[in-house]
Amino acid sequence: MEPERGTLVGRLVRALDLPLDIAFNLPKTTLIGDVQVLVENHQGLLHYSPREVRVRTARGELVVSGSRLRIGSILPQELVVDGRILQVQLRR
Amino acid sequence: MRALSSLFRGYVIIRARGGRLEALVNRAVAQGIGLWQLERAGPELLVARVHAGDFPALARAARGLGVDVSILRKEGLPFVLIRAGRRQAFVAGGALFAALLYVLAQFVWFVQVDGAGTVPADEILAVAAEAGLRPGVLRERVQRDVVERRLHLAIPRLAWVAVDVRGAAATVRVVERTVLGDDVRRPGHIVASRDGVVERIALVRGEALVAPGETVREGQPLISGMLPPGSAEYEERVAQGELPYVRAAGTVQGRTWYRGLAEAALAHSSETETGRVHRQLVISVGERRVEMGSPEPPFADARWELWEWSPGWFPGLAVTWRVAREVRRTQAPPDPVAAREEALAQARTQALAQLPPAAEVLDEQVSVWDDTAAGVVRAAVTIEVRQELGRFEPIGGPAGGPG
Repeated sequence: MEPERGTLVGRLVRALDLPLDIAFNLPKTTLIGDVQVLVENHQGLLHYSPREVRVRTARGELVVSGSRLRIGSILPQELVVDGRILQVQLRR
Repeated sequence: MRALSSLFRGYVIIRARGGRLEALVNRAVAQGIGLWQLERAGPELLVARVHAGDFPALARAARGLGVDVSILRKEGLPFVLIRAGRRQAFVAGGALFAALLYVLAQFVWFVQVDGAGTVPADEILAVAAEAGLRPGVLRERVQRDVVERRLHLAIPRLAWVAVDVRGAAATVRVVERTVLGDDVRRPGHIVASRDGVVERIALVRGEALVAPGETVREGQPLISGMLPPGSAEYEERVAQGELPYVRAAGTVQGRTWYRGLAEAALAHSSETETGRVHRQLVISVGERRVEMGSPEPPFADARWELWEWSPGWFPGLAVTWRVAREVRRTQAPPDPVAAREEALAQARTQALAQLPPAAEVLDEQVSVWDDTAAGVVRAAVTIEVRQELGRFEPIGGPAGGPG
């Protein structure tokens, strides 16, 4: 399933310059310095420990590693990880 | 923003214990329950915050997963209110205070007068109190128009009255009538306003008591308001049972003198700072005294500056900072001519300052003399003027009632 490229909808979205995350419900990850990661459109928490947070997304598993990690908030659409961020990785 | 809304809605800090903590979080989120400040306190332990209203749903979700959820603490306004509800005396006290404040705010506690000049404020307050405006009266009971009308009737000298009640304070604002007063009709004499020599009298009413060329002293009657006994007007007034007095009128022109005295130093001395500074800091606590720096500077001529600080919260402590700046005093050579001019100018200014506006200057006499013993020059200027000498004085004194 590759809705972004090639398909009619994908071309339309690109032609209209629509935000991809909204058009295709893709996860959007924002990293603020090395202190906060904001994941929008997540699909649930897979694992949480102070060294690693794994989040399920439509494009696989998003792994945030670091130290003293804390989940600042978790809402249906949005997840905020606070702490010292060392790595943000997408595992497919 | 979320922090503030959670404070208002109230939230609980929960502890979840069990193996499937992530599953619990996901299930909560799926049900629309937001969690925040999640902390993994141990492999099977999670601390988090959740809105108080969401807690029952969360606990239900946890039961199905075999996770044990308990409340660690309750925070926010609703819980504060619940706790306050248990302290009934405190809440009752607060309510009583609010009620008392409300009741007290219904009264006028201060009445003040604004704009009164010759009419005593106490008189206005007394009338206002009679009309129902006094401290302690209910605000609602104050009838502004009634008070204003009573004030107008009782004190005719008031041209305008407005009563203004704001909070616990009522202000009676008044404007007084500007009246010529009863003085214009009061009988009286014209007396000399200062010592002088009479030159000319223009009589309008009354009887002249002095003639041109006469020397008069201040306060001496010049035109009498008393009718001469035996005159037709005198007889007529007495026959009608009135006092034989009229209001004397007329002008009395005369010569009088104004004098100004001044002195000026023969030689001027000046001080210039050399730039050398000596400082001393003295800190004293009660009897104890610590001095930093010697009390006397290593130079003779000094100008002292002193700062003292003794805080009210530490009785007995005093900090004194003394600064001596060395100065060189220089004495200018005596200049008698300049000193004389200075003294004279000052004396003349002083004499001229006393002249009434309509005075006509006739002559000026100047005397200057040196006082070498005192190191000064003294000058006296006497200005001779022609002016109105008379001043009306009512019979019975200026402060008396209508005669």
